[in-house]
Amino acid sequence: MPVEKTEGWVFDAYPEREGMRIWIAGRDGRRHSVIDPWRPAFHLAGTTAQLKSAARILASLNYPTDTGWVEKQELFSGRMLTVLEVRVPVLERDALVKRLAGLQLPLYDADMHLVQAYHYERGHFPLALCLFEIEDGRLTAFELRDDPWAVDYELPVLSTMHLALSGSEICGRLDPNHAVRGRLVLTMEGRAYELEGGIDEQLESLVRRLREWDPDVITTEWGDSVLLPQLDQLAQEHRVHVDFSRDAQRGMAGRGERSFFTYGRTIYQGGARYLFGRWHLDVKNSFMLRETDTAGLFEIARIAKIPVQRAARCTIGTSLSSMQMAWAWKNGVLIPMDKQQAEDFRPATQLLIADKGGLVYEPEVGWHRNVAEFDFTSMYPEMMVQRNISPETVNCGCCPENVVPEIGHHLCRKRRGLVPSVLAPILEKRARYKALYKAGGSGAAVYKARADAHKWTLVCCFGYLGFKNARFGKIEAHECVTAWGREVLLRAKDAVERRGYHLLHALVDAIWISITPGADLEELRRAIEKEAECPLALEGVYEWIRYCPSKVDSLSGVPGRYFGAFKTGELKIRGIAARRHDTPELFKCLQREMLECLARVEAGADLRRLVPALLEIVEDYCLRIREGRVTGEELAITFNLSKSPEEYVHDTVSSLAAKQLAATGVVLHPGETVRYVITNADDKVKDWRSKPLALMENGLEYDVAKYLQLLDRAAREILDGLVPAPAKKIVAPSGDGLELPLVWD
Amino acid sequence: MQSLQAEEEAWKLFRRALRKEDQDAFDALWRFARYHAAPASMASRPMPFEAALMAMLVAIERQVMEMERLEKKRSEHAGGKDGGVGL
Repeated sequence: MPVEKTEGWVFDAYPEREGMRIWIAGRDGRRHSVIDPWRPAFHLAGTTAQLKSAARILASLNYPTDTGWVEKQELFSGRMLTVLEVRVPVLERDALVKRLAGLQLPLYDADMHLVQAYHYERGHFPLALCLFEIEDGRLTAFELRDDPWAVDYELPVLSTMHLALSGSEICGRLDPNHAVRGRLVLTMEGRAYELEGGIDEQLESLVRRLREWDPDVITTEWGDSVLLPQLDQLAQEHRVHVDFSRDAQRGMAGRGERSFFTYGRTIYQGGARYLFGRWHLDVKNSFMLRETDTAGLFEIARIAKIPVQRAARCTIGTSLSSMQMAWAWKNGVLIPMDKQQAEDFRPATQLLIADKGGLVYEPEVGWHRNVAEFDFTSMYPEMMVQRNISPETVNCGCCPENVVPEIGHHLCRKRRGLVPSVLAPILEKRARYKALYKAGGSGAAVYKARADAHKWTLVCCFGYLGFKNARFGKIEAHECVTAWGREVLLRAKDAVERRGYHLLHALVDAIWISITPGADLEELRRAIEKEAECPLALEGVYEWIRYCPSKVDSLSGVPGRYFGAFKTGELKIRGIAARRHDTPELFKCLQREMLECLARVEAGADLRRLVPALLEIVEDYCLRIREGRVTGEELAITFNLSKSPEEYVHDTVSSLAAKQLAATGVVLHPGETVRYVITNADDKVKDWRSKPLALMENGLEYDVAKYLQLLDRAAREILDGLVPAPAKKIVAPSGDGLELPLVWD
Repeated sequence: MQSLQAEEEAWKLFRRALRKEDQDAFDALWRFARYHAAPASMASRPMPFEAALMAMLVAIERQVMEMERLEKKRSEHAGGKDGGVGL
C-alpha cells in the first residue's frame, strides 16, 4: 500500500476497538477517516501487596497490556515517584480502571476523557493543522503545523446545514418543549428548504439531502433536547434509516439532561446528541456558542484540547481543568483520579479571617457628575500568576517567609505552580486579542469573540480554585487570591486618597472616583497601578452616574446597582430592571429609551431639564398599554423555575403560569424558564390570573392596571432623584396603585 | 455582609420595642454599619457585632465633625448665607 501524505485539520476523534478514529478535514476539501492505533496509559502506585494484587488482575486479562516502571512527579509534594505505567486497548480502559480501583490503591491519569488524553499525548488538538501520513486507512505519522497559542490561525472551510422546525410564527422564539411543532426546514448555503408531505416523506427527503450535501456540521435549535431525539424516534417508528453521523457504523450518542445549582441560580441543561465524523451544535444548548459564536468555541476547543461538540456543551470549569491536565501530562505530573486534597485543619479564628471575598465599598446614593471608573484587568488570575498561587504552592514546606497579607498563608517561591503556568499564556493571549480588536480592522469581530472566550475562562478560574470537586482545587489557594485582591484594592484606595480624590464606590476589582474635569487621568492610572502592583485600565469617564438606593432603605446604596453615561454618550447599566432577565421587554425598552435621552445631555448641563422629555416617553408607553398597542412578547415576564412546578406551595402569578403549562403535559425541569403574561392579577379563578406565552392562542389579554403599576415602578427607577421626592405618581392607573415587588416569588 | 444582616436580624425585638422616632435612629445606626461593611470585614472580629459597633461609632463621629465644620463656617460668615452641604 502506498503512503499518502495529506495536509488537513483534525476534525473529529473518538475511540474504537483498534484505537482512535480520526476524521481529517483535508485542505483539498476531502474528508478522510483513519485509525490511529493509540492505546491510553494510566499509572498506579501503592504498597507491594496492593501492586501484587494489581499484577494478578493484569495477568488475567484476555487482551494485551504493556506495563513498565516510570518516574513521575507527585503534584502536591513535588516528589518524584516510581509508578507502574499500564497501556491498554482504548475501549478496555474504563472497565479495568474500575476493577483496579477496588484495590484502593492510588491511580493516576486514569479517568481522563479518552479523546482529550489522546490529544494530550499526541500533542495535537481539535482543529489543529497537520501533515498526515496515511497507509491503508491507518495513520502512520503526522507533523504538527499549528500552534494552539498562535493568535492567527487558518481553519478549515466547513459546510453547515441548519435543521429547524417551521409551521408557526413563534418558531425559534419559544422552547418547542412548551409549544406546538411544525415542519422540518433545512437551510444550506443560505437557502431554506421546507420539507413537504407526511412524516415518512419528510424523513426520506432528509436522508436524501444529508447524502447529497454531506454537511460537516449540523446546527439546530433545541436539537439536543427535542429535535434530534424526536427525529430519531420517528425514524425508528417509520422504519426509515437516517444517517445523522458520517460514520455509518455509529448512530448518535446521547447524554441525559440535568439541573444543577450554581451561583445562586438553578440551571437546566438539556441532554446532548453527539454525532460521529460530523458535528451537531445546538445553538440553544451551548453557553460558548451563545456568548462567543464559533470563533470563541473553536478557540476554546483548540486550547483546552476538547472535541468541538463537547466543548460546545461543557462548562468552562471542564475546559479549564482540561488545560490543567494537559499541562500536567506534558510536564510528567501525575493527575489524581478525583479530588483527594482535603482542607488543612486550622483553628476557627483563622477561618474567620480567611473566609472573606472581595472588598466592597457601598456607593454613595445619588446622581454624580464627572466620575472616573478604573478596573483592575483580570485581577484574580493576575494575582495567581504574579504571586504564584496554586494548590501545591500554598503553605509549602520551604518558603514560610513569603506571607500573604492578612491571612497568614504563605506561597512557594521555588516551584512554579500549575495554575499560574496554565493561566499565564491565557492572560497574554487575551491581552493580544484585546489589542487587536481595539485596533479595529476586518478581523476585529473574530478577535473579540476569541478574547471573550478567554475572558470566561479567566472569570471561572478563580471559582474553580475553591471548588470542592475541582481536581486541582484547594480552598486555601482560593483564600490567598481574595486576600491579595483586597490588598490591591486597599492600596488603590490609599493611592487615590493621597492624591486628594474621593472614592465614591469600590467593587472587588473596580473603583469609581470623583474627578474635576481636565484631571490627568493617565497620570493617576499609572500611579495607582504602580502602587497596587496590578494592571489597571480606565473604563471611562462618566458625564453622570446614578447609584440607586436600596429598595429596603432608600438612604443606603446597593453595590453594583447603577447606571451612567460616559462622556462618549455610551451607557453603562447594572442591576436595574433593564438588566434583569425576568423584566418584560416593554419595560426594558422604556428604561433604555429614557437612559438614551439622558445620555444626550450636554456636558455640565442640568439633567433636570430633561425631565419633561422623559415624562413624555413614559406617557407614550402608558398609552400603548392602555390602547393595546403591545404584544404578548413585550409583556411576557420570564420566570426561572427553581424547582418543579408542583413543588410550589404558594400560588403566585409565576407558579400558576408554570402549573398551567405543566397541566398540558409539558415536563418542566428546575432551571427551565417559563414566559407568561399577567391576565388578571386578582381573579378569583387562579388559572385566569396569568397565562404562559406558549398557551396564548386567541388574542392577547392582559391586566392593564397591573402593567401600568409596573410601568410606574420601572420609570421611577430612572426618575428618582430628578423629580422632587417623594416622586408624584408618574403614571396614574385606574384605582389606587399598590407597590408590588417586580418578582413574584 | 451576611453576618451583618444576621446581626441586625438578632436585634429585631429590640427595634420593635423602640418608639417610632427611636426606631429611625436605630435604623440609621445599622445603615452606618452597612456603609462601613468593607472596613468592618477587614477587622475580622470573632464577634461581628464589635465591628458593626465600631462602624457605627466612626459614622457618628464623622457626622459630629461634619456638623462642627458647618457650624464653624456659619459663625465665620456670621449674618451671612447658610453654608449647606454641597452634594
